[in-house]
Amino acid sequence: MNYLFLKAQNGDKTAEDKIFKFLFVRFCYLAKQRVGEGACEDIAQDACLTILEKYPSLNGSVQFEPWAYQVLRNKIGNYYQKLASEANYIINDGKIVEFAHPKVTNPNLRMHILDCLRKIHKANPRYYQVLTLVSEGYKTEEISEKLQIKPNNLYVILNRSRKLLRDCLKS
Amino acid sequence: MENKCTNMEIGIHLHAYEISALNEKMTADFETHLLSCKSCFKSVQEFENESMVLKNDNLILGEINSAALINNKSFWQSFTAPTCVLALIIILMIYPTFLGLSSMASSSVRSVNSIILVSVRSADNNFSINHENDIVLSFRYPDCDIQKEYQIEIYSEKNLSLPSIHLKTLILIKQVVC
Repeated sequence: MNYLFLKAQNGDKTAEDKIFKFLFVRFCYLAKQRVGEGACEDIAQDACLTILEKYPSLNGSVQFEPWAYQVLRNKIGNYYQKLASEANYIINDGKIVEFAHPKVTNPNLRMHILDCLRKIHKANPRYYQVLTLVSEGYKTEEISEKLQIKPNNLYVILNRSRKLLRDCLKS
Repeated sequence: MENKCTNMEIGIHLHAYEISALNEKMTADFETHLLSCKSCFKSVQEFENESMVLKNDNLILGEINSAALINNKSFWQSFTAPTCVLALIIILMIYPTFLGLSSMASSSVRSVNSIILVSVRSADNNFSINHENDIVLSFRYPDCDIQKEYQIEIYSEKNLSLPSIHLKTLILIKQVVC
């Protein structure tokens, strides 16, 4: 990425195209995680435009990826601020506004996942404990402390369970 | 196309990120990593729907919570009245057997079953085989220890100590024939 960025800064249009195609897909995904499917493309596009305007004058000591990520975060923040101001107006009007738009789960996928989780639970009961603690709001450092394991072991447990779950879902 | 993660130190956080278990700084680090790592981004994208269900679906979270609660039941909590009574009965049944076994194990003094003289060489004329100064005995003592010293006394059938072959010496067992 940094290599492409340097080439684009030196006027290589192909490199610039590659960077923005690459970034747009990722920005869409990251924005979707935070704001849902409705506004994710707008936010990603907005972030890409800002990057396109500013990257040629970017200082050489600045790392491109963290900077681009920060631009996206700012755009997501702006979106929430805008939502909040609109929500205030609507609440004053006596209506309820939903900030998050949770995706409706496909019942088949849900049952399939549930079946696989039960199988995994027999092989690796710790995965359930971790998921429970996550649903209670704990983060990895606290979870590893509670389970009395090293954080790296926790990540290994999680990734192994993920692999089992993915294999089970595929089968 | 790269198939391997470009930075495994951050890439190891993959599933923790998917289920939102990372703190804010680690999430930011992982998302920055996603901008450049094709392998991690592909993995995250492929598993997007499943991770959404794992994070947000109330039915699944409910099932997971109840199963984890059952799993977390402590050792002492599993002792109910019937299990305690059963354990007591088993202990009462086993205890006499244990006592019998321990009394058997404690008897350390054992009698010698037999002593077999194989060949004798002595300087004594009354018991002479040849004119050497030593005798060679072979005897059987079940369960004796090799390299352990034993004291042996040999008497005649009339319980008289044989002066000619009176033997009261420390011997070292070097070979045991089973």
